[in-house]
Amino acid sequence: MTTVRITHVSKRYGRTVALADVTAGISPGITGLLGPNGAGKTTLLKIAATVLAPDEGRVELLGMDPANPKDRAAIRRRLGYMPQEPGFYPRFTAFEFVDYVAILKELTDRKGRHVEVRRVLDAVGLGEVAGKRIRTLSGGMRRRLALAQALLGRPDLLLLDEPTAGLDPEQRLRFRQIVSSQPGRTVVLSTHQTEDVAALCGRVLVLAEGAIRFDGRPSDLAAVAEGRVWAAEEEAGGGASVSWRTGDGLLRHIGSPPAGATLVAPTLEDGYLLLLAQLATTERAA
Amino acid sequence: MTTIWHAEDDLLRAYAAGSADDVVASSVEAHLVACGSCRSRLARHVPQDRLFSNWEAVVVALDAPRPGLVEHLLVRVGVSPSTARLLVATPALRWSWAASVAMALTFSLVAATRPGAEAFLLLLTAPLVPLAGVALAFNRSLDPSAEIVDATPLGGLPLLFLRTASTVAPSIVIAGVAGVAVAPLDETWWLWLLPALALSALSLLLSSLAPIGKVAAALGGLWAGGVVVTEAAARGSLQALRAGGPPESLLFRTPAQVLAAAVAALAAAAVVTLTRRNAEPWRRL
Repeated sequence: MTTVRITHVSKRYGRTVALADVTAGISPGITGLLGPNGAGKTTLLKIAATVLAPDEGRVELLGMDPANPKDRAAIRRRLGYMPQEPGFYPRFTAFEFVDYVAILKELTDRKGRHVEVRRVLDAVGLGEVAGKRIRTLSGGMRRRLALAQALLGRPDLLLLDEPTAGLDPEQRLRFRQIVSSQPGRTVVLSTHQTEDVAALCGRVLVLAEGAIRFDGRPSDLAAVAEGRVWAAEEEAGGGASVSWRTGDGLLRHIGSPPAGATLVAPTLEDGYLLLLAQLATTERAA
Repeated sequence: MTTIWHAEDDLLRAYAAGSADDVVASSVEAHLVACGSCRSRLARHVPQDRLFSNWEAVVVALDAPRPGLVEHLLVRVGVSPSTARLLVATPALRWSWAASVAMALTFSLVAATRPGAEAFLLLLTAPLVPLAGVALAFNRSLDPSAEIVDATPLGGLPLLFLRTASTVAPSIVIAGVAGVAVAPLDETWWLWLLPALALSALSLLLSSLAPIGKVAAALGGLWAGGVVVTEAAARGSLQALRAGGPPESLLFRTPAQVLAAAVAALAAAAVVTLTRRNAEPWRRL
């Protein structure tokens, strides 16, 4: 079953092309969106969250058409969305804010709603500060608050725009536990953290310049760099696309081997960096 | 010499499970308040799940938002508790109320200091109050959580219309009350009502083309300019505007009033149709 189906979708902001003729289908499970800033990840998530209409193309969410107002409301009943830069009412407490969103999600029974609000706040570890005003919360706490409201009502489609930005390692671990305990649901998350994708996702899409450049399993993305990652002691000639000196003093090369280098196993990040470097090269050539 | 009585385990178990009858339960309770050793023995008999659910209920009740004065009043007059919650949460609503009250006070001041000219001034300013209310309520950029709110089933047009209605209605009432206070009921006091509705509906319709703040400012400016020019033309000169008396502008004659009613009805119908047919007429990000 495909929960998100996007067919020939384009979106422009003035002259800037955010998405150029994108076609993709996303099924239940966790899908990661990787890509440099400005690649179109946020635009894609906004379209899937029904807050932005595409200029061209067709969108189908949970088997329904978001362009139809009735369908759109039905989709939104089964949707959880955490935007990249969530804003809050600073005078509200954490509980009041999530309660407000819960009302907008049609949880009208007061008692049941309050229990659900409590559940999502506890899930993201904000139970202790539920009664505190949002302006007194730290940046990481606010991000978790934005995640909490997305979890309201156990949505079938969970869209998270850079959910781990600004979280410390323990909070990121907790986030992974929350997201991976949503069996049968479709979770789409955009991130810059390749470790999140490697740890969580069954599938990864790489976006660059408004187009999908890779679509496959995380191990397939790592395999892009298979036989192309080298460790060397000295800076040397050769056609390395990317190289940097790591903490253990060795140079890590991705691309053609420098003299005296040894081959090492590629990571997801190696595959991703190599893919972007190859794209940049073909563009320069074109 | 007193005999020391203690609650037996069976009794404590029944009390903890909530199965003891009222008389027994209250006497056990009275004893528990005074007796530390029975209290500590009671703890063993309390079922974990009951303790947990009681604790949960306490925590939820502690964190639950307490309704404020306005919210209480709204519920009293028949608004559903969750709708009242949505209304008091909206910052734009507070500003719009503040603007309406400020406008009403200004009317009274003008009336107190410059008797005579207030009828014309009132008719010029009154339609601007609901127009400003629409601009505040319908302006997504004034809602800090717009992106989160947009993705909810009630967060789109339903919420915007709810906010708009809740700002326009009180602003019309307040402007009306101020009008009556300033110019005691005569045949001219209601002449601003239809233009006010026409301007508000038109601003909603045009907000699909440009940001609603700019639309409302432009319409408000056109209205104010139009009133001054036509009033001055009817009276013969700009100086004549200082004189009191009933308004003479053709904008307050019957044809213009009928036109205003037609514009209000057509624009409102167009807004509803556009909303139903078009996917996102209000979402040009």
